[in-house]
Amino acid sequence: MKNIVSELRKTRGISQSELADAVEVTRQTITSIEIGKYTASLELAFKIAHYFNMKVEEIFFMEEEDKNNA
Amino acid sequence: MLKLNQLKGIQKKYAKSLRLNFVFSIVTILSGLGVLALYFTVFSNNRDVLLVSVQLLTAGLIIGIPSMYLRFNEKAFKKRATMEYDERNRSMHKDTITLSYYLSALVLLVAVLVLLYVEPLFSVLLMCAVIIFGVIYIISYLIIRLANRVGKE
Repeated sequence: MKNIVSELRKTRGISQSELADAVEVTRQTITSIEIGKYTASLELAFKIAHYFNMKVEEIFFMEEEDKNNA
Repeated sequence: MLKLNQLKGIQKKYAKSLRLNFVFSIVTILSGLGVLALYFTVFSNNRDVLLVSVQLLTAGLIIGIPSMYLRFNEKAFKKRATMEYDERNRSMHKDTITLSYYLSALVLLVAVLVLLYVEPLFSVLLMCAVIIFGVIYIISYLIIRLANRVGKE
């Protein structure tokens, strides 16, 4: 599972702590998601997508999809 | 001080669990005081009764003081609530339980084998403990399965 949380966050000038507070998780969880060490649950993925005002599949996608898009 | 009706989401859930902890600590402290009263009246000079009283009071304070602190410190409360309900922390907690389950099984197996040579009776007792755990595990599994039962479409 891959994601563009880090890119989105940096583009919009949001810190990891701010995002973590908004989606009610710890900063460490956001770090783990960004580096791909932890896969967010469906609920958290929706919360993050809602925060960025985007669709879940626009932020989270399977690695195969990534290769196909490249 | 935090007000329950002003909170939402995980913070409300955590505030409720803190309230439960606080009630539990009050009950424990009152029980400790009750036992202490018994020590000074019926069971005077019985050190075991005094020890039970001290243990109950200590347990009550250990549970109650953090709950009180968090209710009056909003920043610490929010941080703690996030940590408590953080899904990665919960996932790590589940992994910890699984790992400790396997390590305990390994330690018990070694202990049963060693005790078989030293004192067979202890070995049998230990095996009984393992069997009881196994029975509890099966019952727990059936309860969880029943709770998660889904009907046919």
